Amino acid sequence: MKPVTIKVNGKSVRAREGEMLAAALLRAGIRVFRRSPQGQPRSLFCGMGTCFECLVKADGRWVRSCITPVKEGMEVEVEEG
Amino acid sequence: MKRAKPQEIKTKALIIGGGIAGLAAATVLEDHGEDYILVDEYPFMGGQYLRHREEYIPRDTETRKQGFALLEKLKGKENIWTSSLVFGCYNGNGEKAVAVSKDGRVFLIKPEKIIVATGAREKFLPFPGWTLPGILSVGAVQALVKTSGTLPGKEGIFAGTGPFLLAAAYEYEKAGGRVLGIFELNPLAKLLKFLPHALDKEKFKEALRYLRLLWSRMKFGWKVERAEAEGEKIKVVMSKGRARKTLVGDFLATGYGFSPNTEAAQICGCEVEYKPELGGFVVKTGEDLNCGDGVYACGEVTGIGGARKSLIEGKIAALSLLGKKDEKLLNQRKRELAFARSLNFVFSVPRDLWKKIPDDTIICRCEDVRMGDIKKVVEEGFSFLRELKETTRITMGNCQGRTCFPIVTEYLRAMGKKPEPMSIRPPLKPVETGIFVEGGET
Repeated sequence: MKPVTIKVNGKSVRAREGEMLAAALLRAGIRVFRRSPQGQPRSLFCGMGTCFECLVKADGRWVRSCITPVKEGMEVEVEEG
Repeated sequence: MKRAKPQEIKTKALIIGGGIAGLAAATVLEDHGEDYILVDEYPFMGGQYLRHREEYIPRDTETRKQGFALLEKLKGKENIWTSSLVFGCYNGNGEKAVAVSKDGRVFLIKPEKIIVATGAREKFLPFPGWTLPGILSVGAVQALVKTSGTLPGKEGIFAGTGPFLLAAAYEYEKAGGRVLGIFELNPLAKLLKFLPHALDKEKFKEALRYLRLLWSRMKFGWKVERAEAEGEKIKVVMSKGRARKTLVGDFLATGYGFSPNTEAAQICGCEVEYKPELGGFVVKTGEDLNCGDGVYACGEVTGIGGARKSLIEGKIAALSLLGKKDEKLLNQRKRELAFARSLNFVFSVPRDLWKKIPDDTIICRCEDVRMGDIKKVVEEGFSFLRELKETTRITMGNCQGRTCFPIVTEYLRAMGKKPEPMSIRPPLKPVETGIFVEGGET
């Protein structure tokens, strides 16, 4: 897989082109992806696009990071843990 | 603002789902020179079973070999759509129109016939703390390993029920992780009594391979009591009768078998029936996998039985669609169904455990609805799904009940209620509203 750089909350993160975004986030040490309605931290859970726990914003759109492939220069926003 | 006009496409057959069942069905149509479109929600074909990155393709079992051969055969074809979500199916003028969201646009596919092969999702027995980052489904761990070559942590704990725990733990350790323990909910005596009869040569060989590596770390009859975050790590408290055991790992992988993804079939007009021995609500079909009204179902949606059952059923469904029948395949399917029934029986969750879920445990992860909220409403005399939905908001979040519905179903069943199917409406999964508007932002 080709190495690429993406931005997560403005910071550069190294990733591999075509891998799932959730994998790149976890490898970068990002454990919390978003907050639940009661403010609890949530992260990757089902890994197959079913549970919607891993929702993040990528290039301005809400995506399930577990089934979204990484692209060079992708700008990702996660809710800070 | 102007409504976007969806592009209409006519085809003989629409296959929903590109896992091993959908691929098997597509190959049969291909071989008969039939016109079809296959759509899959994921950016890759092959479903969960074959979602391996190109550098890592194991051909260790006959079923996997055949699966990868199907993928190879259909690779790059234009009538195979990835990242395409079926979100509705509308009836009119005696024809069906299936709405698909792809590349920020809506396509209306008008097929003469439909094959639904949407697979399954994992089931869970919730415990306090199961929503913490660092607690993943068993499938998520496996997907990280095989699709992205990533480990969710250096040391992992696996707990739940079913052979999938073992398979995923094996792949995780082969990829460089360290399995601290595999905690199977069901007691060894139950497994030994029923399993040997169910396994054939291929499955027996596969199980042996896993057990050789992991046997010393397998524990039977253990249940997860709760989990807590300990710094970056996860602390898990396990119980067996009065015995307690605490483990600390980088992550906990949990899963309790599978539940069929029946939503697309339901919206296309298929009926479902509750069959715990096949994983929960399954799509109702005849022996030829015909659901009536030009819709066929195959693979995990007709009952949880694994990849080989899906492979066989994909072929049967496509042949039925063509008005053909293969007795040999039908007999193979019967054997797979018998295997499926033993497996779902052996690796089941004892009924009383659903009633013992502590009140503070989150059941609906999307809306943060807790067990206590549901119990209270049930104690007040409400037990119909609609009532629970209206009072607690279960099944009303982003996942539309995919995670909590099977849990609530089992809880209500444990309370002596008859399981009722969920009513399904479009959109089947959230879609961006911009796709309905001309030049809309998505």
